Amino acid sequence: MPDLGYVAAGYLTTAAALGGYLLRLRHRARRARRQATALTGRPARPARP
Amino acid sequence: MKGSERMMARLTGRRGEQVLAGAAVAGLATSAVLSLRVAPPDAVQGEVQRLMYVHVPAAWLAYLSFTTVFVASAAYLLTSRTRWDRLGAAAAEVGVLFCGLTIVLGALWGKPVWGTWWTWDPRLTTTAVLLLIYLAYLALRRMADSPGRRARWSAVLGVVGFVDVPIVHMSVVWWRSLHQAPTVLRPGAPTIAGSMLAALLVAVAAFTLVWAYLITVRLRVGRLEERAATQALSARTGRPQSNGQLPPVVDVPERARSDA
Repeated sequence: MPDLGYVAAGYLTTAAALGGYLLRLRHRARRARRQATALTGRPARPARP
Repeated sequence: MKGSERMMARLTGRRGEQVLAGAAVAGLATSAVLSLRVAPPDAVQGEVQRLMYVHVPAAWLAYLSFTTVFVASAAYLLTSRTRWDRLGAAAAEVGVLFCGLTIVLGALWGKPVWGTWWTWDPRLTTTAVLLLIYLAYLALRRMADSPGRRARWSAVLGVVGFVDVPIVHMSVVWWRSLHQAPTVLRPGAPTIAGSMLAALLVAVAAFTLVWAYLITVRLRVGRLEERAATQALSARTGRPQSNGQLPPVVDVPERARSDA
C-alpha cells in the first residue's frame, strides 16, 4: 500500500470511530427516552445536569 | 447551585452542546487543512508521518480521559455524589474509544515505518494494558448489581488503574523502545519543526473540542438512561425513587414493561 493509503486509512478510521460513537449515543438517548415515555405515558423531558 | 456547578450546567446544556459541536467541526476542518495541505511531509518518513496529526491527539485524549476518570473516581470515593460516578463512566467510555484509536493509528503508522503492524515494544505493550484496564472498568460497571457497589468498585479501579498512565508516557524514556521519544511533552524545547508543531497543536485543540462534545453528549445520555431505569424501578415497586440513587440494572425497563 502506498504511504498515502495508510494516511487515508488512518483519517477514515478516525472519522468512522467518532461518527459511529456519536450515532451509538444518539441511539441510546432515543431508546432511553422511548422507555421513559412507555412507562410514564408522558414524553421524557430533556435531561438536565 | 454553586458558581462552578452553574457553569458546568450551562456547558453541558443543549445550547452548550451545540456551541461545542460547531467549534469542534470548525476546528477539525482547520486541522485537516493544516495537517494534510500546509504542513510539509517528514524528511525521513515522508507522507505517512501525517498520521501523527491524528495519532498524537488520540493518545493525548486517552490520557485526558483517564485522568478525568481518576479525578472523578477519587471525588466519588470522598463525596459519594453520583454526578462524579456519572462523569467517571462517561470519561472511561470516551477514553477507551480514543485509546483504541491510538493503537489502530499507531499500527497503521508502524507498518510502513517499522515494517510491522505490532511489536511487543514497551510503549505499545503498556498502552494495550491501559486499554484492557479501562475495558475492565466498563465491564465492571455492567456486572455489579447494586448501584452503590457499582460506583464504589469502579471508582477504586478508576483510581488504581490510573497508575498505568504515567508508565505509558514514560515508557519510551525508562526502557529501550522502538517508539520515538517524546517530541513535545518533554523537558526542554520541542524537537519538531515549527510548521509541524503548529499543525499538531491545532489538531490537539480541535480533537480536545471533539472530546468535550462527546463527554457532554455522553453525560446527557447517562442521565436519560438513569431516569428511564429509575422510572422502571418505580413502576416495579410502586414507589417513587426519589433518593437520588442509581437504579440497579439497565435491563429493568424492558422487564418492567413485560411485567406490567
